[in-house]
Amino acid sequence: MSALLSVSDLCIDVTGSDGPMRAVSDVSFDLAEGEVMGLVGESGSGKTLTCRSVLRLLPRKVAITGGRIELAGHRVTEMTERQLATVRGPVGAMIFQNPTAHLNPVMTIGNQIAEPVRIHEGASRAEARARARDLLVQVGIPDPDSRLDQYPHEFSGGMRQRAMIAAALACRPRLLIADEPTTALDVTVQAQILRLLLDLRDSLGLAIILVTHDLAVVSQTCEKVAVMYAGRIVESGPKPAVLGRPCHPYTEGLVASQPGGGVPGTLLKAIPGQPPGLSDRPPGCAFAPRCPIARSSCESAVPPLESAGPAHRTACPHWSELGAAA
Amino acid sequence: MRAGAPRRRWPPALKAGLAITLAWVALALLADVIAPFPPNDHNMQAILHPPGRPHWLGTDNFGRDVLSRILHGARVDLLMGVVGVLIPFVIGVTLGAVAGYFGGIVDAILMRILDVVLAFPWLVLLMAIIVVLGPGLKSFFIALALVGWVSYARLVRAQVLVIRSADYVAAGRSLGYSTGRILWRHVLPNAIAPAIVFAMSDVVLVILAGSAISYLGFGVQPPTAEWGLMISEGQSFIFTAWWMTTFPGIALVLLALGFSLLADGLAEYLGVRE
Amino acid sequence: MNRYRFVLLRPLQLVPVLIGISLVSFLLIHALPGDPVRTLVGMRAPPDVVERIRAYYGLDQPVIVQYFYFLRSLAEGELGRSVVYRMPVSDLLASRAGPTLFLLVYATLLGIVLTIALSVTAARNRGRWPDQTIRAFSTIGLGFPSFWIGLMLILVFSVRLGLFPVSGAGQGFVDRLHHLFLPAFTIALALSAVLTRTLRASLIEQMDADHVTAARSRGVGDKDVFWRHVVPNSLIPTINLLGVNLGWLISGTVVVETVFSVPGLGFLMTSSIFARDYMTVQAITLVFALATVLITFLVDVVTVALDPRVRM
Repeated sequence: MSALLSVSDLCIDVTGSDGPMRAVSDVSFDLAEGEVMGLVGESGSGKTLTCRSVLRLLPRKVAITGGRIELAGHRVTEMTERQLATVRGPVGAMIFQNPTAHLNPVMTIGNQIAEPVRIHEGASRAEARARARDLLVQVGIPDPDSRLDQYPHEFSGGMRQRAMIAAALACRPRLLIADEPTTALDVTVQAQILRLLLDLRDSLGLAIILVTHDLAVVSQTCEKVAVMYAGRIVESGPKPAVLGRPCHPYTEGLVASQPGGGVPGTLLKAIPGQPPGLSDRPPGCAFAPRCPIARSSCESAVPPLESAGPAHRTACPHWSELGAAA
Repeated sequence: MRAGAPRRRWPPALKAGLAITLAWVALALLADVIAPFPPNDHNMQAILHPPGRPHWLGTDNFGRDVLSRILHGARVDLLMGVVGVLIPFVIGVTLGAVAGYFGGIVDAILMRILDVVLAFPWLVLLMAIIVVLGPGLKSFFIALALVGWVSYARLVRAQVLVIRSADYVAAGRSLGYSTGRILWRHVLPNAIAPAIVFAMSDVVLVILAGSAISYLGFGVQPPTAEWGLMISEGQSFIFTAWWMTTFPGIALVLLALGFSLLADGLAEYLGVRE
Repeated sequence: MNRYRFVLLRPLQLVPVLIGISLVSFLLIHALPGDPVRTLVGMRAPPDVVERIRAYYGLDQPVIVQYFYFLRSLAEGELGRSVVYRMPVSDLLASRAGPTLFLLVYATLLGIVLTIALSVTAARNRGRWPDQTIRAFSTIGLGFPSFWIGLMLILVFSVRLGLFPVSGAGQGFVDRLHHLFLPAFTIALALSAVLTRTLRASLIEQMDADHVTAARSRGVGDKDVFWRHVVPNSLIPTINLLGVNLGWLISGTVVVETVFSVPGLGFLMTSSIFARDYMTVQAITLVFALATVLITFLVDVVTVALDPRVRM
């Protein structure tokens, strides 16, 4: 199966008051049609910038400075803003963490869903509205006819996220990027939204990048996982391998700090220390200062990704020690 | 408006505003020394003299030197702005703090008065009061004292309402501090920032109102050099002596710019958002 | 409270304000030194007129009773007589209201057009020279003395270029547009300086808003994003500010009408102050306050109608 999305050697710089700083370095991954990938990391790890750069939706003062992104044959990194507008929607679409802030407060839900249909397919007002109605049904919003003419503030948090999913899917994209789609929602609603995303994947053959800091979400939904730390992918591979037998001390720490992962009655393990800020990333492995198995060689050069199993890659040269310790 | 953490560095607007304002204050204070001519000396040999040597900004219909009159006029216009804001500021901050802190009937009455005063177009009400009091600078100040305090009262009251329920005020109460001490030492310093920022832009409004009222003939009276009045005197000669109206107006715009920048800069510096 | 109840209940809140306005207007005349009857009818009025006025306004009664007489006269639409024009003040005001209303609407529309043009240009060129220039204009413009700007416009466009008349209000619609262009532009310039600051800031804030990123993620192009998402969300604070500035706008009209000798209420007010025509001054003050309250109320209603989020 050829890749729907291929990201190679992606670098992203953030310009601050002291000039540009590298926020994401040498990130590469592939995604096939219909595949669900989890992109995991703490806030500041670069996971959100990475996923946003797939549709080139980076904020001001943030720029892609290296690498290539290819989405369904489109070279995203080389397109103009006008060309990008034709890719966003019909090829790739995105949903966001905070649905309240990401919906236009003075536009009806129906119009927000219908807008991309009219733009990309030149549909008439009535056609677009009919499509919006179908989409509301598809994402599980009851009473779609009256909901179409309501404004976002009349929706609950979970309903707003469903509406945003409907708008993202309006032009039948092949890739959906979901940036922490459940973080702002109640736990019960979280599960419903994840269920909905998986159902949509099954019915539409949608590929999904699920950005999250929550390993539990990944283990419920994803086929593959990429773990990011301080702007780099430190481990990637099939979900069972990465979460079941972590080959990077950071992943191992994450897994151990999950509730339910450890032995009942014992304290959850926390990773000591803090991830480095943008301006004080060390020259070698960024995780070395917090790593239980670090040695002096870790601090001199960034370790390259190496194979730790079928399709399983890790940025820790000492990964074989982890299995032994466990 | 919202008060946040103060920033350390001086914003450029604050520096520029301070520079312009202080320059005007210096010019006004030194007017006697630096003005090339006495402001009210008639010179029948140099009537409507165009700008040039020795009258750099020309002369008016009495042969008075426009530059000298602008320099002396700076005193009057600065005085209008400063006194015209200081009186309403003190009244408004006091009433607003008291009303916000104690609430109840005092607050309710104050808010109703405020609504009524705000219902009138500001300048129209000022003029109507000046009609009663008779023209002149004193009437202008009294009218401002009656009308201008409402904005300060409203700003401070809103801040005090928030602050009065803050933890440090409760802490002060639990330590048995007197009401006056809490209000003066703990509430007011935290509530006053928006009022100070507004005062700077209010100086602009007051100077413009004062010069407009003088222009209309109900404010500063001739032969005092005041910019609005000078513009009004120049209006009859607009076809022949453009400099009589043009230069005092530029002076007004520049003085106002100083205080506008000061307001912007202070807002940024004190973390006040309008 | 839903929108309809808001529209119905909001006028009730106006009642105390209206009472206050009438009280202030009442005091304006009764605080004047000397015999109020002489203030009202002038020094040369015959004794029988003096007695009639004294009885009509209850001027031999206690002040509080006089206030109710005053309210009764207001309710009858009786605003007194102008000692200068020798006609009922209400008729005088009616004959002068047209140019003022025309000027206010004209200036507001010009101001809005100017504001939108400047703010959109600034926001779309954020940080570059057009933005810097427009920001500088809006800061300097806060300090524009309208009477002086009016004279400068006369100097350039009437005296030098001969494009516009120096004074008057004109006859007929087109002629009036022509006559009142400079006065309206004077006010519009000052108004747009104030409004541009707000609109530019909120346009820029909205351009970075999350919902705008979301719209872009669905392939909505630059232009559509700007006009359909950024602009509608930015207009509400600006319209609010326009309502807040109404009193200031009317104040500006009084000054500018005088500069350009526009035969409206503002010019009538300043000339009546000179002529000591107190009844006219009082009536105009009252009318301006009532107009401010009424239009502010309408702006509130419009804002509520525009903003689906407002649900009290």
